Amino acid sequence: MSNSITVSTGSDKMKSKDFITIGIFTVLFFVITMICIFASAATVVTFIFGPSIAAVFSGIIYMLMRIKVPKKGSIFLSGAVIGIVEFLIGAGWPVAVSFIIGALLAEFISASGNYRSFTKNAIGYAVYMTCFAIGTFLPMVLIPSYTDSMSNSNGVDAAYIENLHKLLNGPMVLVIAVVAFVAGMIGAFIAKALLNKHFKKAGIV
Amino acid sequence: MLAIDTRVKLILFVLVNFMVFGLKNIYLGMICFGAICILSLFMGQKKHVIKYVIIYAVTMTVQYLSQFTPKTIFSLLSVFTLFVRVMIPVMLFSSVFISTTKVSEMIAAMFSMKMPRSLVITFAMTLRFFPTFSEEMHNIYAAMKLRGINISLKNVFTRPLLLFEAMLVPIIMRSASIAEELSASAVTRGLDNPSPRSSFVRFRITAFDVTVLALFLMLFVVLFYCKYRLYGRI
Repeated sequence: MSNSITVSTGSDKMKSKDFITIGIFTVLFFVITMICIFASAATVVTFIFGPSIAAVFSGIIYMLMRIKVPKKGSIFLSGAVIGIVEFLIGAGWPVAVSFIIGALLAEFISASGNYRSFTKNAIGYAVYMTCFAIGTFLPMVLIPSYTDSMSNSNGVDAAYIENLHKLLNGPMVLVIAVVAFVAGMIGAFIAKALLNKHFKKAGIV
Repeated sequence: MLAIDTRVKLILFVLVNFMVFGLKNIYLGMICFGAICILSLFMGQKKHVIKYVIIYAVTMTVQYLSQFTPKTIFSLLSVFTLFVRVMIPVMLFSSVFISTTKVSEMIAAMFSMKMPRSLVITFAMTLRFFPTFSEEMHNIYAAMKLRGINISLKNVFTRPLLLFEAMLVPIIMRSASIAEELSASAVTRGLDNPSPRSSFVRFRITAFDVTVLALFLMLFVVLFYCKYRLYGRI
């Protein structure tokens, strides 16, 4: 129990210990992501790249989760819990669904590397964060009524809505997705550097 | 003060979420907020209701006053107030939910809804860890201040990476060891026992639960019908 290395060489099925580890690191992941999103909401332009900024900083938590629990279903479980929490705090269902879909995709990608390949895990993470970015902004393009009802019922400045509409179109969402993917990869490499610098020595990894 | 069945509360939460995000219209949103306030009062959460009603009133005042400010400030403010106004009902309901539901009740309710074990344990763990996280964060921040790495404008601009590292590395270390300790304690108490879980909490759906659920379902349908009449779409 005291030696954490036994975790990663255990059987393939998840045990209570793994559920607890995932639960705790999911909180860390969630808090860091939310801090980045709130900080980025200061202006419209940074808001659009909020998920990308979050991807850079949350990478370390995600990669540590993969190393601690390299088992089937671990990514999906974490994504599902984040989806539920997002839904509970009222982030709207598209974001919650995008987290769950992203986690499923990441699960498949990591599974092809047996959950232990750094490259596969990094790509999975980048895809996961890309799904989050798409899930946040695609509804605004696909369901324009979302922003329309804002202007109808609130007297929100028409110019702002127009700006948002101008900024957010199909190609722009593609740009957002690409940036999020690249940011995810950067986050994964920062994670690798930090893990080597601190956590290997401390015996956490 | 009336208690509502945890499962009914979960269903209400989903309904409230869809209502609040589907109804951005100011009057429909107010009706929805009012309904949640009344329900919270019935559940004996006077403090929460007063707090959120005050925030709501302040937001509405700011929104009204923002009409008289220059255009750029107005556009920023109007989006901000919309965001806050839409979020308040959900925030009220979630704080009422959290203060009226124990984690053990939540777990028992989720098990009785036949949710998978993995999801229930992980979710309960996540909810339980949020307060521990903020406690740990306070301790770490105290240590950071002691070494002069506090969050000040100077530090944010001159050495942001050190700030990030000094905050993140200790919290991850602590979390990892908390995970070890907690799972050791939980396994000792028989968390891995495969037989069906028994619970001290007993669930009974009362007439009050049914009434509340029916009223909220009616409200849901009526408000969305109003929205349909107003805008011609759901």
